[in-house]
Amino acid sequence: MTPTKSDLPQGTLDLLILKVVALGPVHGYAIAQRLDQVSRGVVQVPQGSLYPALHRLENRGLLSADWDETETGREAKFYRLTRKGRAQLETEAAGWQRLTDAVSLILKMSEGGAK
Amino acid sequence: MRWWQRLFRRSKQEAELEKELRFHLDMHTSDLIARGHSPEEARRQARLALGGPEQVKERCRDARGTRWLEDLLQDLRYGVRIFAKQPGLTAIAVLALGLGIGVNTAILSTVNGFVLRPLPVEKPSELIEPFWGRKIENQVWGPFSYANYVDLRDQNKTFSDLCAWSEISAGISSGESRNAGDGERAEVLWGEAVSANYFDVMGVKPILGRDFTRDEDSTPNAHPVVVLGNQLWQRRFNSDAAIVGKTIYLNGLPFTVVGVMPESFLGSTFYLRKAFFVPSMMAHTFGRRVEWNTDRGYATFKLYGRLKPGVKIAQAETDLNLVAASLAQLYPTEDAETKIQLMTEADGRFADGTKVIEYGGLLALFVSGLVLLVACANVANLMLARAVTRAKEIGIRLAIGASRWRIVRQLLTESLLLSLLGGLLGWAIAYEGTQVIRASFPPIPYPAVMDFTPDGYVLKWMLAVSLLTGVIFGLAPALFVSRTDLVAVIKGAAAGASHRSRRLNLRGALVVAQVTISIVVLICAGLFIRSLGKALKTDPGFRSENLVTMMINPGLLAYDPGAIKRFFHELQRNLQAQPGVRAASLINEMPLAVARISSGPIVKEGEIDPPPNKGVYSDTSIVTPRYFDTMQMPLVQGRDFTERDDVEAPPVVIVNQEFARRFYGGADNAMGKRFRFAQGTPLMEIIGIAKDGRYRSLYEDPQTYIYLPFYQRSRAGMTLLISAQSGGALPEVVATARHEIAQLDRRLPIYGVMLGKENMEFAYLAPRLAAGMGTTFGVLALVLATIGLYSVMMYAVSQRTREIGIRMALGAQVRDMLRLIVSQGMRMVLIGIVLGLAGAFALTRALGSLLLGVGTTDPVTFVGVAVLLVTVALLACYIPARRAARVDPLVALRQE
Repeated sequence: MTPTKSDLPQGTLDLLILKVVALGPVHGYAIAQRLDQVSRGVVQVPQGSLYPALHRLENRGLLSADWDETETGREAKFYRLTRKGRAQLETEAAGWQRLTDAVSLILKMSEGGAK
Repeated sequence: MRWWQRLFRRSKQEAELEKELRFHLDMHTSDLIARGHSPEEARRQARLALGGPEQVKERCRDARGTRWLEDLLQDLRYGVRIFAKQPGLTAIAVLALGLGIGVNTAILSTVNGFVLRPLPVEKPSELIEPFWGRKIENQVWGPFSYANYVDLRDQNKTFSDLCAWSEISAGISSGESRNAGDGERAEVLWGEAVSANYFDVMGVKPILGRDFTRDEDSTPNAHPVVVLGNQLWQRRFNSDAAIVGKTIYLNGLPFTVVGVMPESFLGSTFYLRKAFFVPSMMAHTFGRRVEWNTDRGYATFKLYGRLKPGVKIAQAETDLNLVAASLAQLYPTEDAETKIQLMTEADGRFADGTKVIEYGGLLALFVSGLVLLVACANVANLMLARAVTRAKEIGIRLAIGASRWRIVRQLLTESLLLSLLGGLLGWAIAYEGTQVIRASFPPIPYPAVMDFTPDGYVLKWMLAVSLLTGVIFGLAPALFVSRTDLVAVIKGAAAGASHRSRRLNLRGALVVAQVTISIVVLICAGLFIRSLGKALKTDPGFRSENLVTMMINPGLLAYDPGAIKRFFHELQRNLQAQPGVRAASLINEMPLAVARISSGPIVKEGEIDPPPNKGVYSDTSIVTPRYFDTMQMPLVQGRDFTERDDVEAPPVVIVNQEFARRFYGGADNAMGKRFRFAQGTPLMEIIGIAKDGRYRSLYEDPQTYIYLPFYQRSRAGMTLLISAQSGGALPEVVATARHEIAQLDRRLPIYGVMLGKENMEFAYLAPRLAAGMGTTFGVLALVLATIGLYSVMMYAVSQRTREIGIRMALGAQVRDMLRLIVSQGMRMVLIGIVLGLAGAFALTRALGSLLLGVGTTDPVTFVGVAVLLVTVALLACYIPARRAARVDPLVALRQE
C-alpha cells in the first residue's frame, strides 16, 4: 500500500476485467490478484466492486461463467470472454488508446507552450 | 441463462453468489496466512478488503438487471401475506372496489354499446357525415334530397367521394306475391337504398358476389338487384354459397341477388342492423314518392363522405356551403336559407334524437363515478388503518436503512394488487350488470344493435381506472406513512399521539366526503324514483290494460292502395264480430311508441301559406273509425270518423283539446272550422274534439294532435288495435287476430305484438332505467359510506380505549360513553349531510329535463334522504359505541 495509489477512472474497471479474462478462464480472486500485480499497486481495485462488475458483464453477455475445479480441487466460478465480449474489449481498448494518446498530446503541448 | 431463467432460479443463484464470495474470502485468507499473518488477522484483513459481504451481495443482485422484478415479486408475496392476515378488511376493500369499478364498467359498456362503438367500416373515424338545414338554427341535422345530393357530389372540390343512403323497409318472401305457395309468410326487414359508390365510401367488400355498378344506379326502377346482409343470408338462406344470381322477392317484386356483405357490416347506422341493400334508383319500390329524385324539397337521403388527403373538415364545410349557396340561388323555393354542417360519423350520432341518450349516458357515468369515489374512500381508509398498524414495522425498516422509495413502492404494490383484485371482481360484476341492463329493455320491433357486453375498449378503460384508483388511493397513505417520525414510532404508540389524531382527521375527512357524495347520489335516486312513481300514475289518455296491438303491412306484399283499403276494412269488420273482442281499429303510429309523424304547416281557412321554414306543425296519426272507442279515449265533442269519410266525401279531421285551444281558443269554437296543410292541400273540417293525452313522452307539456281518417289517407303499414272484453283473454285475442289475418292472406307477416301494459313499456323505459340505476347507485353509495363510517368509528373506539377506561373509572356512565362516541361519529355525518344537501341543491338542476312532475329540489326527497342517512349512520355509530361502553376500566388502563 503506497500513498501514491489513485482511484480507478470511471468505466475503466470493466475494460481491465475484460483484458484479464481475455487471457483465459479465470476465477474472481485470480482476477483481483492479477489486477493488483499488473497495476503494480499503482491503481486501487476495490475488491468490493469487482464482483458486481463481473455480474454486470455476465448479465450483458460479455462474459460467460462456469463452475469448475481449481488446481487445489476446490469449486470456483470461472469467467471466460464471449465473442461479444472480445469485440467489446477491442473497441474499448482502441477507444482508450485514442483517448490517452490525445490526452498526453495535449499535456505535451501545454508544456511546450510554457517554455 | 436468460433473465427470466435467472429470475426463477433465484435461490440457486443466491447460493452460488454466497459460494463465490466465500471462495474469494477463503483464498485471500489462506494467501495472507501464507504471508505470515495469524489466522484471525488474515480473516479480518480479507473481510476488510472485500467489504461487507451483504453490501457486496446487494450490489451483485443490482447488477443482475432483474432487480425491480425480484422486488416486485417479493412485494407481491408480502402483500398477499398481509392481505391474508386480515381477510375481513381485505374482502371489504376488494368488494367495495369491485362494486365501484363494476358499476362504472357496466355503465360505460352500455353507453359504449349504444353510441360509442365505431361503425365496422374502413377507417371509421374518417367517415364524414354532412347535415342540411335552416340557416337560423345553431346546428343543423336534416337529411338531403336526392337532387341536391347529386349536385353536391358533383360540384364539391374537397371530397374524394360522397355517397347517399336512405333507410327503407320491405317484406321479403321467396315467392311472387299473388301466386306464392301456401303458408309462405313474408317477414319485415330493414334495409337501405344506396348510391352505387356507397360500399366504396364505406370501404367494405362483399364476401360473395359484388356490389352495385354505376349502371345499376342510373335509371329509376330499371335494375332490381340486391346485396344481402350477412345475418339475413345465414338465417333465411342457410348461408347458401350459390345465392348470387338467385331471385328473391322484396315487397312482392323480384330482385336478383348480386352479393352478400360480411357479418361485421351493419349498414349506415350504429343502432340498426340492415338486412339488405338496393340501388337508390329502386327507392320508389320501397314507398318513396314517384318524384323522389327530382323534388328538391323531398329530403329522404343521408350522406357519408371521405375527404381528399390533407383537407380539413372546416375547409370541406366551406366548400359544400358554396355549392349550397349556388343551389339556393337556382332553386329558391326549396333551397333558400340553408346551410350544411359536417361532422365525423361519431359526432353526428348525437343528433336531435340521441341527445337524451347522450345526456342520460353521461349522467349515469358521472353518478357511477361518484359511487366509485365513495368506494375509493373506503380503500384509502383501509390503507390508512393498515398504515397505522404497520407504522412500527415501517419505522424499523426505515431505521435499518430501507429507502423511502422502497417503502412507498412496497405500499403501492399492495394497493395496486388490491385494485387489480377489485378490477377482476368489477369485471365479473360489469359482465353480469350489462346482461341485466340488456334484459331490462322491452322488446323493440326493430333489429336494434344492442350488444352491451364489455369489449376491448371498455376493458382498457377499466384497467386504467383500476390502476388509477390503486395509485391515487394507495399513494396518499403510502406517502403519509413514509413521512413517519422514526423516533416516535419506535418509542411506542403513546409518543405518536399527534400523528394518530392527524390520521384520524384524515379518515374523518374521508367519511365526510363519503357521506356528502352519498347524499348527492341518493337524492338523484330519490328524484328518479319519485319521477317513475309519477310516470306510472300519469294518465296517457288511453286505456292499455285490455289492449292488444300488432303491426301489419300489406304493402310488403305489393298490394295496391285499393286492395290495402279493402284488406283493412274486411279485417276490422271480421275482428269486431269475434267473441272476446270489444272493439278493433287501426292506427299508423301508436302514441308513446318509437316513431311519430308531424304534419304542417297548419293554415286556417282564409289564411295564406306561411313563408318557407316558418309555420306550426302538429303530430298526426291516421286512424280508422272506432279508434277512440278502442283506446277508450273519449271524444269530448262531435262525432267519430265513419267508413263513409272516404276520398269521395269532404275531407274531415279530429283534433285534440289542446289543438282546439291553441288554434281556436276552445273546443266549442273549433267545431266545424276548417284548416289545411300548406302547399295546396284541401281544407279539412273539424268534426270532433278528442280528449288530450300524452303522445311523444309522459314528460311532455300538453301537445296539439291531429287525427286523419284512414279512408281519406290510405297507408300500407298500420298497427292493429284490439280492445278485449276482459284482460284475461288477451292471448286468445292474439290467436283470434292471427287466424283472421291468415284467413285474408296467409303470407302476411305479423310483427311487434304487444299485450296490455306492454304497450306502455317504451314510455316507461327511460324513467324505469333512471330509477333502477339511481336506486342501484344510491344503495351502493349508502352501503359503502356506512362501511366507511363504521370502520372509522371502530378504529376511533379502539384508539380511545384508554381514555374511555379513565372516564369510566372516574364515574362516567354507560350512557355518557354512548353519547361521547355517537356524537363524535354524528358530527362527521352531519357535516357530510349539510355539504351533500348543498351539493345536491346545486347539481340536481341538471336533472330538470329528465324528471316528470317532480321539482329538482323536491322537499320530500331531500328530507327523506337526510333522514335515511341519519338513521343508518346512527346505527353505524351505535355498534362501536356499545363496544366502547362495555370497556372494562381495569383492562383498559392496563393496556399499553
